[in-house]
Amino acid sequence: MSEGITVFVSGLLGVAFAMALLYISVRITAKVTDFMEKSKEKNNA
Amino acid sequence: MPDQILSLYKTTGFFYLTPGMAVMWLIGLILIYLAVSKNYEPLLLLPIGFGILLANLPLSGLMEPNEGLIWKFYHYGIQWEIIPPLIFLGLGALTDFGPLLANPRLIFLGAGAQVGVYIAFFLAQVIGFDLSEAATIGIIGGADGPTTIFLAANLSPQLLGSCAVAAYSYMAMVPIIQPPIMKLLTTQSERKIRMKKVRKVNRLEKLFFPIVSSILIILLIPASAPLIAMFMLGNLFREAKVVERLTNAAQNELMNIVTIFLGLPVGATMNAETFLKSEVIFIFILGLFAFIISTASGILLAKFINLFSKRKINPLLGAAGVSAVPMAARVVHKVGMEADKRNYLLMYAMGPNVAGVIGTVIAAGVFLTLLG
Repeated sequence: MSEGITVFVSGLLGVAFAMALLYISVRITAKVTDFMEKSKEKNNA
Repeated sequence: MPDQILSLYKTTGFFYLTPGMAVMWLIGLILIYLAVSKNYEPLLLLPIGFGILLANLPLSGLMEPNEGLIWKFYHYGIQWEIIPPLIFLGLGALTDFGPLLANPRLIFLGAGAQVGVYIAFFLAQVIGFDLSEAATIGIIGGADGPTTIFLAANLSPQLLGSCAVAAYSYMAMVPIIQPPIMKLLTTQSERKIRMKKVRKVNRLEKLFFPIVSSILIILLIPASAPLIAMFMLGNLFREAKVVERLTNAAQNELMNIVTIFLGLPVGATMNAETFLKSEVIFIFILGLFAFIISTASGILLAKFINLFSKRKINPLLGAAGVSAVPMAARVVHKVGMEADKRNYLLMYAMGPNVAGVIGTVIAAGVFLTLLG
């Protein structure tokens, strides 16, 4: 039973942590690519 | 003469037929009927149903270890972990992450919908299943067939057939199972919430996503690598826009071929001795419970986010956090339209829907890490 509780808690935390990390990476990627696009436009101009 | 007739009779499969086999034929025929007449997940339920029939024909030897034809499909395709990742390659090539990238908070709804997986896991092991079996049963709540098969093949091959059929059956029944839960947990005014128009996602973002997310997820949960790697490779094919032939092959020919070689052996694992047990009933009940809780937890998480957010999320979107793509998103759209005919939720619902696919793979990877 105690092993089950460990898997239950660490499983939920693991999924939450991984998805939070994914969220942060998406936000950072959005900022970086936005910056790259703007730099490209600026260079072209 | 009668002895010769009897000897001849014993060379046929008829002599070895058992009532259990007849019951399995009936189950196989029901799945074929549901696929053909009701169009319930026909691409999978049709070969699974036929596989059940074949596995319960005595003397056929099709599932004879090392020799049977379908056993070879099973061994080299599923036990060697080849077919589920190839399905994910096709899924990746078919998936547009645009709605998710445009509104990244919806990622959390894909995570919230995994709660049912873990609650069902916990209940299953309380009932008496061992930890590996409980994990395989819990993952049904993610409503993702290939992930369920992948995890079952790794943790509890003896439950593979029943868990796969449960997962695909519940995926087919999304339009029946989800709406009552959605209506029970939301008010009419919540269902009418309109999502704000989201920003346009640039091409670079779509291109970077499969690369960045592969690196992150595989580093964090290496056990999820086979599924995530192929999923993101398929998506990279799609977004790169320079390998159209590969994208088309992954979306169509490859996906169709591996679907045949997935369904048939999954069905063929279900013989009367392994399937006709009381525990199978518990698997179906717990799987349904997991699916219901996953739907509810996604909705409740969306409501919870709304407590702290100025930009409200329509809580129906939480129900799309299960990974039945795109059925769950379509159901969200339909229920939303019933409350407000001009509320178009489909594109928004695709965000949590594809996040749910990633969430379920991560949940499976965590189970493999802890129990594999």
